[in-house]
Amino acid sequence: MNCIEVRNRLGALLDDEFAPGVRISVDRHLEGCAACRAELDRLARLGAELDLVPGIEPDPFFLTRLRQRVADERTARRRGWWPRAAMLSGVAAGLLLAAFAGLRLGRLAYRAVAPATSGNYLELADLPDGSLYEVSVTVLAGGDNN
Amino acid sequence: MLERELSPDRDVKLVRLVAGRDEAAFEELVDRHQHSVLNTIHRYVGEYDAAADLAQEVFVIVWNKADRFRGQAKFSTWLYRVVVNQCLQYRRKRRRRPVVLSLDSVDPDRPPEALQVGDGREQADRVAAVRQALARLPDRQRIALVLSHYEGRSYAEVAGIMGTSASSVESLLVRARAALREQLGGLR
Repeated sequence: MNCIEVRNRLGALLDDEFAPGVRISVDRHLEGCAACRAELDRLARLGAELDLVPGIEPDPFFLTRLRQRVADERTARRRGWWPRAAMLSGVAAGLLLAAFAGLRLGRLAYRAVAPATSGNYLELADLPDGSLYEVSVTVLAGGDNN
Repeated sequence: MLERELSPDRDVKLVRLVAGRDEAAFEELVDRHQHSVLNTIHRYVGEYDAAADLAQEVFVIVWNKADRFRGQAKFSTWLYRVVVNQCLQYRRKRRRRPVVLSLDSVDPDRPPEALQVGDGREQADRVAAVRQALARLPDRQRIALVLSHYEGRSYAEVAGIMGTSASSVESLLVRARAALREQLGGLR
């Protein structure tokens, strides 16, 4: 292995990531190359500087706060279910009511009339609000309007 | 009370219980991993309060999504994917305000100024400089370095967490170390 190949892999050497065969080749190169040994030493010192950054401890209330968050989420999900169900029920009920009212409105808006003789007649139909509007009725010969 | 085992199989058992909303299992899982999760995040974001909040968020995600853990990878791989995603999201939100710690910035791990004398002050300055250099690394290099150097994970494990190859991890670490040496050269 040449110096460029070795220096690119010195980090992996420090991290103990080599297969045994590769390790032997790198070690053999390092035995005979002061420059690469110096580079390895500089990388090791960098690692030591990185290790100066201390770790931290969780504060003693970490788990308590976490429990509360989980409980809050559970409550929020339960609360979220009921209003949605109530809303959907309300919408469904409203649609049914509207459909019923529409059907009823349709019936009131048209009234089949069976006049005695055939011809076109103008009927005034009742609307639910008590107002009237005109309906054209065509009476077929024979008196059957259904 | 659940027995404490040291094997990864214990994590798998626990997370399956958590999927069934077992709170005791959840607390044991948190107890097993909170220290390393918190430290990984802290070394990435550089601020204690932000790290504590993100760590909480990680475990809330574990609680909510434990049923999605399939067991094809190790639990720690799955967990640290959540950790990495939280870190990257935090970084994206803070992009307009990069996390760069100056030597004068408030550091909760640093002794008060009045107590630092001689070598203590010099040490504190070096720690702050290392933190600043870490904060300047590109996201993926920083993640790879924290997971490999500070958490002691193998390249293969880091690759599994980051969704890349072991050789890519090694390449990230080579670049990270080169960047750090360039920034910290003045301290040698």
